[in-house]
Amino acid sequence: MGYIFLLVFFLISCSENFQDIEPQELRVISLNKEIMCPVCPGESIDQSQNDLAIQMRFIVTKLVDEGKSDEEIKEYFVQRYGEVVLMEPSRNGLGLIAWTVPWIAFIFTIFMVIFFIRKMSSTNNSREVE
Amino acid sequence: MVEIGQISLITSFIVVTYTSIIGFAGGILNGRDLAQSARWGFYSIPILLIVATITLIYSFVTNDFSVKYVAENSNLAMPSAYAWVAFYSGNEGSLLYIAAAFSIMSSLSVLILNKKLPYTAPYALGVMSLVLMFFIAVLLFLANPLEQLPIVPDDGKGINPLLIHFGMFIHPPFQMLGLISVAIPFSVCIATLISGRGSRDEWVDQGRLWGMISWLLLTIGLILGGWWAYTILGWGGYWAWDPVENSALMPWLAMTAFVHSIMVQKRRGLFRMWNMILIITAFTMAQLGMFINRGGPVPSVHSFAESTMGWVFLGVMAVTLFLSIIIFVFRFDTLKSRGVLESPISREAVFLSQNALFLLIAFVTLWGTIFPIFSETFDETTMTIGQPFFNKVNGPLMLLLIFLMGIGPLLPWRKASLGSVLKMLTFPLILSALIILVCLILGLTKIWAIFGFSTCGIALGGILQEWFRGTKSRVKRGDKIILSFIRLINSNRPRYGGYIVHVSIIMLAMGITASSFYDVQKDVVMTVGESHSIGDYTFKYLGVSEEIFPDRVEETAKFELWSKGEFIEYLYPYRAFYPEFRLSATRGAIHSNLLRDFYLVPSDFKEDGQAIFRVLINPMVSWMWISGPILIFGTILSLTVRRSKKIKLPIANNIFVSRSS
Repeated sequence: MGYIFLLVFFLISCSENFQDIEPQELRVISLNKEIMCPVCPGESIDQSQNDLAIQMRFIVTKLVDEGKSDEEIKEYFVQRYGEVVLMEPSRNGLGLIAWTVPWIAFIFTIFMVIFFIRKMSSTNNSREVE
Repeated sequence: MVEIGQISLITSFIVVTYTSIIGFAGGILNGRDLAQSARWGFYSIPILLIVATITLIYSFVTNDFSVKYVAENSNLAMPSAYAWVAFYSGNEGSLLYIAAAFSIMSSLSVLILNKKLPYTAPYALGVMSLVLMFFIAVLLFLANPLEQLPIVPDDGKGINPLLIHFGMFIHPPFQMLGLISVAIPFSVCIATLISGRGSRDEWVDQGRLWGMISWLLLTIGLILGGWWAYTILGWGGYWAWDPVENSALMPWLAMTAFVHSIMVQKRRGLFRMWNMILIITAFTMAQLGMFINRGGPVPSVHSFAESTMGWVFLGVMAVTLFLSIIIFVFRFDTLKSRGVLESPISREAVFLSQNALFLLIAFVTLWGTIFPIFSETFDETTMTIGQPFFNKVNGPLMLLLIFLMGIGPLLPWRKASLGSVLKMLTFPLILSALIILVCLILGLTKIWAIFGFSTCGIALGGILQEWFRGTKSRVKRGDKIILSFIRLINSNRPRYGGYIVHVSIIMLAMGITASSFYDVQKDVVMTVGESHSIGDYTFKYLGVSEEIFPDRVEETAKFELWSKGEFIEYLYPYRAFYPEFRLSATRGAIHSNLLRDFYLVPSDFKEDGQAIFRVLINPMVSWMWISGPILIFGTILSLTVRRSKKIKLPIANNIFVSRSS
């Protein structure tokens, strides 16, 4: 039982309020994580220490201060660098395929599992009849 | 010196060609002499490859720049300790490492297989020889690390600065060995198929043993990789869903499925076909991993061993897969299940779903990794599939996996009634509800995080319940609590070792959930003497010192860290600039405790004395690193067999007996 309370106790670590971080800043960070640094493959501008990434972070902050929406800010970068600059594909056009295939695979997996459980238990019955 | 290595490399190629032919011949003709000859030949390969490796290391230690590979991956400024590990930092040397390490491990496996599976061992030896032959051939003809330069340069180009870290000593060796070691259970499985002995389950124990060893190596490689990224790459994360990381994860997923489903074959004679498919999948994915790592088509931060030979690996992967499928189809008839699946409410059924889920995650990961290639080929738009995509798609699937991990071990083999299942789930569900309650009281609002914690609660609850019951029944017989707990674990090591591994996975999952949902990040601009606070922490910037080395300029900042008005320690984050590589490497300073990490990393030191730092508060990350040793302990425990006094039944109540029967 002691372990459980210990475990629950640790959840406190998540709860602490860090109020000195403004929602504005949180938005900048989450946007930074969604925009890729064009010259450092695979890294978001949040991760990268490249000069270009630093500049882009600065632009994101500026655009957020100007009151632009997330979509507008992303669009701003897409226009300059192409769709490759988004860390996740958009949910239309070709990007939609990227998102839907996992769902199709998921449904397919469920059906396969049901099918095999049924099939493997039915060999049971037939053999018992024999 | 180098010539000795060259000669032993050539000799090893001749020997391995011989053993591959004689191994198969020994199997087909059932010739004991042939098999023995192949075996002794095979045992000599590690010696030859170790000689080749030593000559290469020697060239590194003595700065022999007449060797092309040394000149490219080392220089005089490199710290001398790294001479020992620099040999696997590039493409050619890492291939030599893989070949040498695999030859040692496969020789060990042949030693054991020969005793346990005398009829299939020669075939397994043949398959392993072919794998090894490929690597040695590549070393000799495509990427020879011992190749010499016509003109000896004064100094080498140097090692990639990002690799100068203690992690270099441990992460790459484990990761590379983990990937190639999948070839051993694969060989056992293919050998069983070729010899037509699939209908006997004799290979199961060996398959499980080598499958678990390779799984363990892969796991250690992955955790160490995360730890390294976290401590050195300085972005405060440990996993970025980078293509190379994905390609190491995929075989791990398939192997995890395998080490579970092989138990079903052992206990119930089911899943014979399925286990073969899993191991073939795992080996294919391991090869795919090597392909992506070596000049694959996708950009990655891991391209240290980049070369043009990725396509050679892809070709060999295709051939291996093709041959495996042919062999599988021809031996299809030997793989009919012995037993039957009696009920969908049984451990077998959960294992089946869990297996499918593992493969689904592997597939989705593969899909995300290669989708950019598709989009480029068919639509000419380059797309990025990055971290957010994988988190959104794989995150929920992994949660489902943890849920299955919770209920699987609670269900008995064969069948269970719904009522008994619900009874067993009572405590885990209560624990899970308790966790949700605590989360809400503490004011956590992120639904997925709460969901994650409560699912971990179910899994943990099940294990605690098992431990508690088992221990209690022993305490009743008059033993002390701790002693009876140890005896309980000892009574069924495969099972309780497995539980220990599950606990470590739960810790890992808790750490990942907490740190990915509740991390706090802030970029601060500071001048000397200034202090800032974030949460309970206050940190004061004391100054920066610059040190110039032959190959780099290091700027080390000094900080005082305070928490709730109490001084904790000095922190020294630093940033090094390597002019030759035009690359800067940062190293964060971390103050870590069980609750959270305080992570400080310099972004930029400006000329006017201002400096930019990034501060991160990452909850529960240390749990992930603690889980590693626990996982290793659990895995090894579950592999060891207790020799004395075979079974001590009955242990506890009815549920217990029915499950261990």
